[in-house]
Amino acid sequence: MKKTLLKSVTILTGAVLSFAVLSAPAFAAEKKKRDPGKKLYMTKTCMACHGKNGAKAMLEYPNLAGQDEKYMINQINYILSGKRLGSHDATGNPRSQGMQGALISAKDNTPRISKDEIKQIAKWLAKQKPADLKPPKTPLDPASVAAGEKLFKSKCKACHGKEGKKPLKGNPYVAGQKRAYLFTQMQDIKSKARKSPKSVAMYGIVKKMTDEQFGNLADYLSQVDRNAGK
Amino acid sequence: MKSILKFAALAPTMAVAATLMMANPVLAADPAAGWNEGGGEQDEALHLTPDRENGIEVYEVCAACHLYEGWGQPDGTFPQLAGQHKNVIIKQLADIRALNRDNPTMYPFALPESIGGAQSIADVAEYIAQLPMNPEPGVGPGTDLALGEQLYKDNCVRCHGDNGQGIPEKYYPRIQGQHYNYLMRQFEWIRDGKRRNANPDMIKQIQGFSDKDMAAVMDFVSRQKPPADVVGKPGWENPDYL
Repeated sequence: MKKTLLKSVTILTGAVLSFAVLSAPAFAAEKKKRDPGKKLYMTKTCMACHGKNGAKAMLEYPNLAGQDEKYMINQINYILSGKRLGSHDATGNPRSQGMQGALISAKDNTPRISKDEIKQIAKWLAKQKPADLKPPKTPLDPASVAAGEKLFKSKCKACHGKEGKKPLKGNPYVAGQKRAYLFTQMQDIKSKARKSPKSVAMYGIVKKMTDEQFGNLADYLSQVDRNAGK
Repeated sequence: MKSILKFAALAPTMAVAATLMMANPVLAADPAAGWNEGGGEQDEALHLTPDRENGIEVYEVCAACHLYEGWGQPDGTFPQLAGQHKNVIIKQLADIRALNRDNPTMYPFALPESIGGAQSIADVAEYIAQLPMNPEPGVGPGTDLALGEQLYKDNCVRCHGDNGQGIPEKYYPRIQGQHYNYLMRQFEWIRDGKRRNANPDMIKQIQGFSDKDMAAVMDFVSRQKPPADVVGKPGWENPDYL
């Protein structure tokens, strides 16, 4: 009897102690609330493709951390409504189809994300630190990078800002974006697979540009560090 | 007369197939050409010994949409995977990454660079198969269950079993307790030739189904109860990811 009592006292003390230890950080974490935009970013499955905090996108998907808020809201809406399709991906479907599949409900073919939720996600993503540069798998040709920089200054700077780092509101940051993504998007705008208003505004500029020039621009922009000097 | 009728029934399917072919070179093949060719990774994965720890690690990628519990979304956007037969998961995963089943949302996650090779398919399939199933799947409106039951008895039992349990060794999936809207979408895609790895026997079997028939039988299927020992408790959280 006595032994059992002692045992239960020991267990109880242990339990109280471990409760105290475990709950201390839990209380501390409770004060700092998770941003509702971040929560939605995770529960609406955005994170699966665009990565942790929008800065670790998989495959050729774009990083979104620090992207222009208004631009993102527009693009999400265009993708959900089918207005932004893009060229075909490896599955033979328009590039935006995968995102549609995750966000359009099987129940009634309407978005399973509200306009307000889209705004919250975009607002949160816009505040995130842009992705750090990844060194290219094969070293870039300095001549191509220089050609890209020259082209950028003459053709792109007016809307995307100095070094692609200061776009006019509603236009995307292009500095430090993934090379493959940049290249495909320029091609898609030239082929008119991207039809949203801001893309249409670019039609005249990209009309006579070649894949080689798109390559130069992508080489240059993908290595402009948005976090440099911060 | 009869052949005209038959042609009329087939015409919409052909139109859909033709449209798909024009828009999409990948789809140019016979819609059912991909049914269970086997070989390659599918065969390889079937004969490997699964590793549970790696299964847990691989499944974390899947959990972004299918949830840690594998219970999917009751609105049917993402299906329940928990409790699905290992063979079925292996076949579907191998099909998706071989572009045998058109699924642009899942495709990037099925790639070897995302989840690994045949061993990983074997590991994650085994892991998914043993997850307890969702006790509260999304069901249909419940207005036509008698019709649904009759249609099920007449058309589905031979392959999917008397209450939707499927036949693992033939790659016939467990459909009992699957979310209604997911079932609806897949049934429609199979009937109309959009799901390329569909079993041609099933495509034939369900050609005559109207949308009303489809809704009735899928509603019935979503309400079929899996055996109690493979179903989880409401609110269960997968302890492997706590």
